[in-house]
Amino acid sequence: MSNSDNTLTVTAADDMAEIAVMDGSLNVIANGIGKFQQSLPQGIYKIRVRVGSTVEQKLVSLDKNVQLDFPAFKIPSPIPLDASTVGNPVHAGAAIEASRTVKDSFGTGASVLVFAREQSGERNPQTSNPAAGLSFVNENGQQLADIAQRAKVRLGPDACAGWRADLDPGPYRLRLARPDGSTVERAVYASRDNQVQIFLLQCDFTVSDGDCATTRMADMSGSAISIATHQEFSPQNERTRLSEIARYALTQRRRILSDAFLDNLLDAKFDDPMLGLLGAHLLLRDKPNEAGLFKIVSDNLVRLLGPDHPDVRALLLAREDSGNFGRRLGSPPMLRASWDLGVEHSIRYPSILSMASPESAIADKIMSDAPWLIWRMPFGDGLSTAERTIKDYLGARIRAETWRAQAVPRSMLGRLSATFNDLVGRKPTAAPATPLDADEKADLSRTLGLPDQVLKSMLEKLSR
Amino acid sequence: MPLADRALVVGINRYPKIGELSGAQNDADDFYKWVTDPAGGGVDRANALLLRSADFAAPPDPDDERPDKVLVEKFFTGIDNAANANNLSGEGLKAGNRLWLFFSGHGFAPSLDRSAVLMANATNDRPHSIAAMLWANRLYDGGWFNDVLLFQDACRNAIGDTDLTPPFLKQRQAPAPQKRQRFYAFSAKNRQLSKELTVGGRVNGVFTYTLLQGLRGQARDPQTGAVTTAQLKAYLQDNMRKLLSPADLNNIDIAKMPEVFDPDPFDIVPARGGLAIPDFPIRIIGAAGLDVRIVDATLRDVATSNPAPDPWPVRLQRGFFKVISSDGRDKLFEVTGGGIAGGLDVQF
Repeated sequence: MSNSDNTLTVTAADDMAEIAVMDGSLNVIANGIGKFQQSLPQGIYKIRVRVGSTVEQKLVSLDKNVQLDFPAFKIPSPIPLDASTVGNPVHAGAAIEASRTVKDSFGTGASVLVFAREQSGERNPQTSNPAAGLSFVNENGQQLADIAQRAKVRLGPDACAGWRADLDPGPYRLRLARPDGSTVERAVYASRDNQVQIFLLQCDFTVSDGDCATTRMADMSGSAISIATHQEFSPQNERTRLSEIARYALTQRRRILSDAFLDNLLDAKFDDPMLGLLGAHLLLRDKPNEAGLFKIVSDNLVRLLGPDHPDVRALLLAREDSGNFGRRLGSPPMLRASWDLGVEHSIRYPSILSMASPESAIADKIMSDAPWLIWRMPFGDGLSTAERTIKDYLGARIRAETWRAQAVPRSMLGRLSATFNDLVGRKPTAAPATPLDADEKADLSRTLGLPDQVLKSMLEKLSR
Repeated sequence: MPLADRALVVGINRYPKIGELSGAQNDADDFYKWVTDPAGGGVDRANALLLRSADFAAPPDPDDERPDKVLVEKFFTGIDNAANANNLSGEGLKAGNRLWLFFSGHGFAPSLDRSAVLMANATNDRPHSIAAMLWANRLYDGGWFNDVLLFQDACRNAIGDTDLTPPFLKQRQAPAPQKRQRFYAFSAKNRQLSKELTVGGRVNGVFTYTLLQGLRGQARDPQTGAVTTAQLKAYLQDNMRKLLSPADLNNIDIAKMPEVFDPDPFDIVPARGGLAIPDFPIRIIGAAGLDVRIVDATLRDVATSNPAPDPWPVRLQRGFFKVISSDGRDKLFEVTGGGIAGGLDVQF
């Protein structure tokens, strides 16, 4: 520190706020997460603070020591939190009431809340039931409740629909029947003494009937999940807001692991264990060498959510002592990152997602989505999305091999033959397909989220 | 001999099954013009492929609409062939020095890694796409190029049931000594829509319009004269919103800022001698009759007026400034350039 240096202190109310300090050339010269303090040469700097997708920035003249404080930011979230940019007091009140009012009972020990709502405003004049098409099903696919029918529905400018059911702990599914007749599902795991809460905003859905007509529908991909240890919704829950920030960081590759956040993970100080699940995935991604930390965090999650929770089981696969827990998921996890862990480890241990496991039944139907694991039920008699994608991949690979062969310098006879073919408009013969090697199969598995055995089965089917 | 730079530039206006765009092709035309300009990106036209809707007649069957992904795949195969040829001639398994990838059209992205641009024959049932970031990462990881730059002007909203086709070039790891750098910029953050705008009767994407302003010189670092990754990122972040209408600014679904993935600091456009750093018209308002001076980010005086008129017109380069008056007041402001005029009023 020279005599001309001054101290810049930046504090953010959010432990996970990304703080960047830019010099006059707009180069980021220092950064921190949650807080920042450093001596810097006198001058003017820009402080940029990012929380989720929300960014605020301030200029500061460092001709003396300066302290800047950033309050908690509002963030866009389907959860009607007070701190959501698309929050709504009417929705918050309705969600609280719905979380307390048991509409159906299928067991004891846990509960589920499904809350669908429309963003208010002139652009979205919702007049229909926001829960239209939603139903709750058990792991075998049998419908337990038609949520659109059973929910308490409010229509009009603040349209929303809330439904709570009590149930036995275990795996369930939320199903959405879409206007084009197709159906998508996602996993919902109810853990003991907790209420798993699913929040859905409405989105546009284009019905491919040739006219590209657009209708409003619950947005399964953009939904949010929180896990309430007090079995009711709280619009002020700070941990739920943080879990929404963590959800964004997981899909958008943001690095938000501050010391304060890690402390939270280590001490299991979360009244929304969803924050723990998301934080564990961030820890695994951004601090892969912190095996000791990860062990403590995953142990905490076992204690909070139980050893059978599929997202917890997926995280346990990443531990060195994973063999002690029995390598399996047991049911589809809620997070796509958890599924990807299962797929990654299935390359080495195929039994994790064997063809006989319950979750392998959805393996060929998974949609390219994040952060949630969402799949499309069979629709029509054609190939599944994954099969079509693999077919496209194999086709591209064959074309590439053909082009490569054409690019190789050829004999005079070969060149004459190619010229003749060009003149008569004859297409070149496709190169024979080289079999996929182990690396290529692993690459396909990872990108498409296909367990090793499912991929092999698909490749076999497509080669017939 | 230095390896060549290469560019793939794609602009698709015509999507018979999804909905037409107006500015994507203009975006591609403008980017291609810049990237192949010796004073711009400097890519030899022989190494730059431009794919636009206008280059293909509309077929009777929309499934045959082009540009389709086969054309893009052919470009990537050509890259691999070039790498193999360079390897045979002893230049290493590299296709070139720098790869520019530019896409403008419809798109989707459930996550940053899985962003994609829809090809012209995409339908809601079959969203044929190119997984732009997966391809950029594949070519970067494998060291096909030293630098990989990806620009994608496309919505990142959700779309029907699709999966991304992984790159068919086999994964490989670049040799350790190879210095590699990358910079990716997307027109929208997660699940947001990208807007088009009309300037002088010509439609462009807001992102591309701003991007090209920056690349053409407005994002040059006043200190070095180079368009750096940091400068371009900041330029995009500061200036896209200047082109949006008040209604768009209030619409949470419309992208006002790009998503930038920039792990490596480097010069995107190097400093070139003789090129002046652009400055922008600034008006200091409310300092009439006072002795006023403006200092830059290093607190060095860059303009003075004794006494100042109201308004006091000055021209300043991009950067952070402070205006200080003789009555003890001061105010910080930033000149970001951008917008249509690039000017700024500072109410003192």
